Amino acid sequence: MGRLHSSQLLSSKTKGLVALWILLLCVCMEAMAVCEPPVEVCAFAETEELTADDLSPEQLEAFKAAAQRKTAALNNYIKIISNKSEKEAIRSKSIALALRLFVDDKQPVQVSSALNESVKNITIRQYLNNLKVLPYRRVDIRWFDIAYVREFKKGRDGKYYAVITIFQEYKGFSAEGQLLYTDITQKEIEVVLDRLTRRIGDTEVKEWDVLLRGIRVVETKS
Amino acid sequence: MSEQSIKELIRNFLINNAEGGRAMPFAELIIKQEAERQGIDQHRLKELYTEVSRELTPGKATSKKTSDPLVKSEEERKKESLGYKLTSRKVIMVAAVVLLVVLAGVGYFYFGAGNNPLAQDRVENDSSATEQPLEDTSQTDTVHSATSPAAPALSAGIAAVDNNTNTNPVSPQATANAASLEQYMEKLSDASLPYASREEIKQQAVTLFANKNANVLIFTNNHQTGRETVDDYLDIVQLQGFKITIKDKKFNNDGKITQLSVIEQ
Repeated sequence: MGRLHSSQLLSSKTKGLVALWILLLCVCMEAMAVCEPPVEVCAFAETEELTADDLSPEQLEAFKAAAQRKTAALNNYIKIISNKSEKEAIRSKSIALALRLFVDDKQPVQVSSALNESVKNITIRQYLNNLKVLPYRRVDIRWFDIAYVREFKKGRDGKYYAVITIFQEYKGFSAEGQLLYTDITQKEIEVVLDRLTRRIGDTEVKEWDVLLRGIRVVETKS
Repeated sequence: MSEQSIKELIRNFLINNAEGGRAMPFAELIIKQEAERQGIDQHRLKELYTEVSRELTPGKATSKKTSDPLVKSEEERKKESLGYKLTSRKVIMVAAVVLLVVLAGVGYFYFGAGNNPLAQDRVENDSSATEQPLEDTSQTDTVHSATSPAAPALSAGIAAVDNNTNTNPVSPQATANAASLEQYMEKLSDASLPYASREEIKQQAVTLFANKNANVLIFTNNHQTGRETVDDYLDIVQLQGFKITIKDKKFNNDGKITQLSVIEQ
């Protein structure tokens, strides 16, 4: 009878030992996982960051030029998107690339008309999608005089902000090539220069990047 | 009362036995004699053994005899004993875990990144690819052209080619790939070409790279201002509407491009 009782206690001991071995096994497996070659992403994530909090004037000049180039690229994408003779695939790809120029696809864009002087707020995604279904057979949208109205200035959040102005000439043609609508609009595009953590392929980097924010209408003339 | 004292003896015997205490060779005999002396027969003695065993079984003793101070003290003893055992186990487990973690850490640093030249090389490449310092381009094109061998004339009309690959030995395959890339880039940015044919060119251009995720570093005024995967960047070159100049390339041992630097003006 004493043996019976001892064996009962022994079984609890055995349970404890089994639990211990399971725990050790788990720890060993975890250790093996740790010893596997690190994924490239991890290695990249640990590398050095850009050290300067403040950008040098030369760097700011470079990003100014980059922002202007992105603005010009946006104009080119808009031309492709609004071109109804262009293939759907290339128009859709242009929308995707244009959206990547912005902080996100919900950035506000003001649209205006010389006919009723109204200004409407939509998101950049809506704006680009609307370009595909404009009520004209052919549309020419040309941006010119792309210039800075406000240079990059550092905000309290550590980001740099600037404002670019553009003049947009908009022409809508009928199927017969007749000019149905035209206006010239002055627009301002806010630009933000931020140090962002992004994943580029397998690489995770934290680098300064310049992105476009909202577009607002300053003035529209027919 | 008499049974109670027998039970007490049995309990002491069983507890001592279970805890691996000193041997009590005559304990059972003494219990048997005491039982006979108090007029308890063998059958009843077995029942008493069973009862005491049940009382000592975890979970049952507590609920059964909570009002009995004697039993309570035995339970406390038992609890203390088990507590001691649990504490000992915890200590062993924690020690084992700590030991294994330390071993794993040592293994990782030794085999993963420490003395493994491949791993070291990978880390170095990674760090070079991850962060191009903004001042990285202190070597201007002029400097490159002065220090690197002249690139072979690849095709007329191609933008200024800086075939400086001083970070990698240039293999014949790499040279061929570099030449092809210049031509592909030129054609990709040619808006007069149909989009379908540019898509084909893109697919061919991608094959020159180690993979679609190879990084393209974008420079403006000799400062890095952007980074894209080659897959995305070749789309951008097709549609953004302006030409680019190749600044630098890095190759792997197969002559495939692992990183491309371009200048956008």
